Amino acid sequence: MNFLKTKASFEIFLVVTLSIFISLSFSKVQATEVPKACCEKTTTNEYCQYTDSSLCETGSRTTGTGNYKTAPTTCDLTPFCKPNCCKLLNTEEHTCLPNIGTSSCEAQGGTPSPDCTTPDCQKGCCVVGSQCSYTTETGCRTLFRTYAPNLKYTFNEAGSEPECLSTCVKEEKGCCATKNGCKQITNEECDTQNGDFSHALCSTLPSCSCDGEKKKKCVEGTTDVYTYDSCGNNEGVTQSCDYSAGKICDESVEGAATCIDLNCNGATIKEKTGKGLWDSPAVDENKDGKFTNDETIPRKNGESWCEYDANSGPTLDLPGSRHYRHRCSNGKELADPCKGYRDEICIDMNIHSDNTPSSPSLPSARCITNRFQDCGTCDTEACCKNSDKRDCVWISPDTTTQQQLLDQVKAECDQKDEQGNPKRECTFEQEHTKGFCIPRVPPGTQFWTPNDQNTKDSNSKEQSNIPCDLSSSKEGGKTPPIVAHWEKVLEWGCHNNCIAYTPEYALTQNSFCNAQGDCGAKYNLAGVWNNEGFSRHCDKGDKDHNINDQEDPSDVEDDQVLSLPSWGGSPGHPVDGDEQAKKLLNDCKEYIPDPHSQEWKLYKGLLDFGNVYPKNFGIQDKYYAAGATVTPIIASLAVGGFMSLISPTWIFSFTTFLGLPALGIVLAVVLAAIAGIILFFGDDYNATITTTCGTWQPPSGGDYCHLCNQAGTGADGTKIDLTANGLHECTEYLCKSLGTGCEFAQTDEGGKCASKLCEGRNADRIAPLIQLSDKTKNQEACVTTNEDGQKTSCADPLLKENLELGKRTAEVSFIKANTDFTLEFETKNENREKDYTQCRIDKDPRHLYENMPTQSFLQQGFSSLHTLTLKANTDLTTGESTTYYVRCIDNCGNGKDSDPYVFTLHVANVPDIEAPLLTENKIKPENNALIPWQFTHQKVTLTLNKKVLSTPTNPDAGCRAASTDLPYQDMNIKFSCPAPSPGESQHCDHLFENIQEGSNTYFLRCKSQNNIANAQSLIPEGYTLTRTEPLNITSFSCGGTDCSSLIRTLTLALTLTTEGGAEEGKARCGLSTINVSSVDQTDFLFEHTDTSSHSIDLTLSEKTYHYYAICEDKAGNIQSTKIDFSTELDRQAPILRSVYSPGELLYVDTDENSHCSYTNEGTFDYTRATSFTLTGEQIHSTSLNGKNTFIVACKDNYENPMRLPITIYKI
Amino acid sequence: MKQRGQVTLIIILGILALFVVLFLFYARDQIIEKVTKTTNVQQQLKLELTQIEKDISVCINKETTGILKTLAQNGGTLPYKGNKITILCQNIPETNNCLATPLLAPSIEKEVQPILQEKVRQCIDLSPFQGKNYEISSGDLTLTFIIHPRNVLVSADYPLTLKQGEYTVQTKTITKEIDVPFGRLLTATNEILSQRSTTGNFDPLPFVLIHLNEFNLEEKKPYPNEIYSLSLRTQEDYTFWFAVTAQGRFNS
Repeated sequence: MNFLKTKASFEIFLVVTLSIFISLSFSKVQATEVPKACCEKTTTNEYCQYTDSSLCETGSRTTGTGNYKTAPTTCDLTPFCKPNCCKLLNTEEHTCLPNIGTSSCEAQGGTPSPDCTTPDCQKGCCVVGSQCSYTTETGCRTLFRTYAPNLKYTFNEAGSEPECLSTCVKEEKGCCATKNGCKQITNEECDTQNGDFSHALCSTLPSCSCDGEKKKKCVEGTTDVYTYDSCGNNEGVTQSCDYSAGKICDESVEGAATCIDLNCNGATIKEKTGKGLWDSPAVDENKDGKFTNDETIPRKNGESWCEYDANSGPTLDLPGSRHYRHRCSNGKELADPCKGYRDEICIDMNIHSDNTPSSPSLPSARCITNRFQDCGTCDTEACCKNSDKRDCVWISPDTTTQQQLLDQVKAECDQKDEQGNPKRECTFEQEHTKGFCIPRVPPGTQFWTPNDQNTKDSNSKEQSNIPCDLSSSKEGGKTPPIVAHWEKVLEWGCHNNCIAYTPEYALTQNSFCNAQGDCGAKYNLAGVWNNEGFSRHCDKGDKDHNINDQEDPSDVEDDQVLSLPSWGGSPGHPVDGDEQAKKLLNDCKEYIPDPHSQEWKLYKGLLDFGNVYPKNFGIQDKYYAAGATVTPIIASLAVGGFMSLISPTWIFSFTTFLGLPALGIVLAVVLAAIAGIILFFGDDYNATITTTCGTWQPPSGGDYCHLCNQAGTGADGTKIDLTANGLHECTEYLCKSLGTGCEFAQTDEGGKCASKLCEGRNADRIAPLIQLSDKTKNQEACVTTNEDGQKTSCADPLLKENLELGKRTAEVSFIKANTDFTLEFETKNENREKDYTQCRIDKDPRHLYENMPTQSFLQQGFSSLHTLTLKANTDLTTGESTTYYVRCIDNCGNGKDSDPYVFTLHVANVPDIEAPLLTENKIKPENNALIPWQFTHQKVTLTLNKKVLSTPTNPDAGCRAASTDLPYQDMNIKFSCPAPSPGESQHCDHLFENIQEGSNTYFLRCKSQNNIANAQSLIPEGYTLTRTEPLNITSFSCGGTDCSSLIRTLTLALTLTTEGGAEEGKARCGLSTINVSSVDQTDFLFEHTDTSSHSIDLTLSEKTYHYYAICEDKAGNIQSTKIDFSTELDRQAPILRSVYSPGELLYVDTDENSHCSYTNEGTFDYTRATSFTLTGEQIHSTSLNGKNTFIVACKDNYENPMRLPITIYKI
Repeated sequence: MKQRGQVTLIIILGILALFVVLFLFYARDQIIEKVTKTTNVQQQLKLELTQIEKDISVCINKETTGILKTLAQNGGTLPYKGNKITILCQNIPETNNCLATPLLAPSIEKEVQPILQEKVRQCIDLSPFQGKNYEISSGDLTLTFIIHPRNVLVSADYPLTLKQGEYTVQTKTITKEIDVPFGRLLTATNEILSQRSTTGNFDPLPFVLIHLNEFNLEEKKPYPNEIYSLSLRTQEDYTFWFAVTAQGRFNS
């Protein structure tokens, strides 16, 4: 025992320490992420964005003062981006917009304000003459100021823009004749224009000349067709389109406005497209009791209805399922998905035009938030049914079946013995708490571990753990375990609460488990069952109580069990009494078996909510008009729930027997003897049966992943279309629910789900098959020709062999010459379902997938469709056949080693009537090129778009040149044009000789193999080569002096000057220790170069340097010069050579350039001494100024001071 | 004497008239040639200029529609079906409401103008018109970009002169109307954002009905966000996309 305690303690220690370690590890991972912040402005000029902090602009504001701000929180919490009403009344917008960040508003020129409901923000109808505009009062005043200062200001209330616009159409107008013509406007407006107003139409007034051809047009803000006279005046409605009946004016056919139908007639749509409206097998769309006849029903424009993937309602929604609101809009059926994971549910109702039931109505549906979160906290019916706060249903024993069972138990509890004492004691919960509160629609659960779990946004609310465990029946749980009472006289028999051993009980408990969300054992939408989410512990006794004595079975004395149909209650056959306990224990399974069994069907009958949809749950949607009719429904019986509500305790009173009459004494003695035996040999046992409700788990494998993307067959063989004719998108939630082997990916075609299983059972080992798309086949009309390029009938087959599934080759003939060809195919698996693959194409059959070009098809990632346009004259050659090899691999790499698919494309051999052209102006050297001075010969190469090889029938083919623009045959310079290698372009070259300095112009023409010569030079103005003058290095200097003199410093500015060349001396120069042939080969470039003056600052040591300065200009002229120089630092102080004083001046001569100074008395100090008036060179002079004594010292230019000053006396 | 004087005068006038007639007869070809040449040269220059203006117009159309499509379809950060959608309303945590970013025509015009100007400048290729028998000189391109409800107006001021000898023709401002209802889509988008940002939800169906089916509006919900696609019923080939971020129980 002690060992066990120690072991348990160690395990707890391990769990705790590991948890801390793991959480610390994760926090480190998060620390490396780029933190998010609210940027007042981003580097991409957006305002108030909660994004990566690295994108925040931190510079100073363009307007105002200070820098742009950043805060490590969401923008609504910052003072600079908190949501405000943004009043844009003084901008062109004249409007108020709510919930705009402060800075965002200011950046738009608006004024942040706390309230958008102020009068200045209210929009109304601004009537300016005969025109209406829906704007604010400020906007209206601006309109009047700008366009109609003389008109009466009119700003009326209007609920919407169409309502406003229609008032102008309805306004009474007449014909106003002015000198500018006739207009249909109001009388008031006519007055301001000094016109003659008439109530008649302009077209009826002869003076107006507006009686020409009339036109029918649509008018903005109205739905009817209007007539306009030849002057453009609206004459009123000519055809009324009843919008409430789905009719509206349309003028998509020019000049012929008419009423069109916006309704969605299923039958008509089916006629046109082959598929009508989506008819879900789980929904009776037209409510006629039939589920599969709704494809062709008529729907009105604006009508909407709910669609569900499968049954929906308490306990019923399956993992992966979603609610949708379908609607008819502009003649099309659209699907508005409710929020995923059933965070929103779809409700529908019939909206009447007024409060009378007989009024016209429109079926309407809407997605609303699923407020399931606190259903489990409600203990009373009132709390549960409070629709203002939550969307829950109350499961209570007030339905027929449950009431019958309750009555039966009550009747037994009411039985009394002869003394009037109750035969057994029953305790009941209070009436108002007899029930369970469960979500009206079970929410979805993220039942898998997301890949990016370690990098989740810390702001995201993580509530993936739907409290499935609430429905567990266990000690200390919300629902206590069931205690079954076993008694032994001679054999063990079950007497009370025995129903907890039955399959029915397990199914019922699972049903409550299901109600919480994706909990317990459930099907998925492919019809595959998984029972891992629910388990039951069947207590079958212990070593002292062998209730599971299979050799000596006994009976069950519990009417609840015996009344079950499978036990003998109608219908069925009673179980043999002696075998009852055996059956009870044998039927008690830990996991619920496959529900295709009889028990499952029976169970479904017990908890069948019928055709229950959320629409029936009594939800009144405030968004819609009042008068919606809904039918509340009461949830039906749950046996298990009932079982846990009552805890009857049976009390046998032997005192009853002791009070029997004398005649019965013998019998009493016998009974007493039996009782004695029972007391002596008898026993009893309270068995505890618990259930565990956990998160639902998807079934293993990946066989049904494709059902997320396309219609297919479910596990039971029925046809399933979870895409609803392509209206519903595949989501990660649905994908993951279809199997543990399913992987979700976002593609260009939307979310896709594919099996990731490449090994083991259900593994995908089949190479993708390909099938040419209709787009490829339908090119026939555009590209089919016969071999000679003459157009043939469009009906002629383009493909000699269609690349249908299973075939590996296709041949196309003949593609019209000079025409692009689109190659498009789909990849499929062996079941003809879409296979998401990556494909590559190449002309070389030897290349395996990994060696083929990576970017050839339009689609970048995995896709079931692959499109490539083969370009004429690049990928396809006129008159030739090209073979392409395609390899496709799926996500398991299948197809990598398979033979390639082979496409042979024959292009028709049309006569070539086009003369050759330069490919992308390709000529080397390019036109107007500069060539070096020394080049008197230059090879010129042309790249052409077609072959110009001479043939026996066309010996003149090729390219020619001349210095004047002559016809091809008269040109005297001939190019050499060798046959190009396969896949290469035609090249021709010629070595031009005797190129003169300056501009040299040549005219070039070619003649194709088909004898078509250029009528104009390939470069119309002529091809020009300019031979430049020579480049010269005219001078160089070392620190401003001749480099041949000794350099006395270790930092030297080397300068160089160039002249001539291609650009008047402009060149690039570099230095090299050896003489090289190009400036790019020099050791380093001058710091300032690419001009005519070049310089570089060199840091030197004391030695002799040998450099070559190499300069090169744009034309390639190269000039070099050798630069030698020596450096040696001057460490010698200057020497005073002579002193003399003619007159009032003192002269001092030094042996090198120096700076000399003096004092007349005291100690000499350079910092305080007076400089000679003239100094710096070798002769220095200054005025005597009447002084007789001069203490002189000098420093040379390298700061070497004379060791001692010299004192000079003037005598 | 009087009579003789008159006769002399008449003779002199007659001789002068004869000279004038003879001169005109003599110079007839030169005068006609001069007039014809003027007409031919100017006509040729005008034709060339018209072609250049046509090319500029094509550039404006191409670049404007391209830039507007980028703005409408993938100018943002939220990935959806191969596009990057612009987020125009960011969720306010713990609520269903969101913080909106309005799309106002003046700020878009300001943002687009320099980009469009540069794109159009790069698109204009004058090389086919160079090296001909006239001189071509061009100044800086200045572009204005204005969003209207039913179209977009782009005006290009591109001073361009073609000169041949004494004859010169110059471009005028080229204005191109791009038939894209961008302004209308912006107004509708702001209306949707107003409702979505303050009430925490938005239903496309009443919106479409209130606007008398003027729009096609679809809403997709890649968890937990919302993506809207908006187009005019009568002009479906131009669709405006935008996204709203919302809170969810799970990361997606």
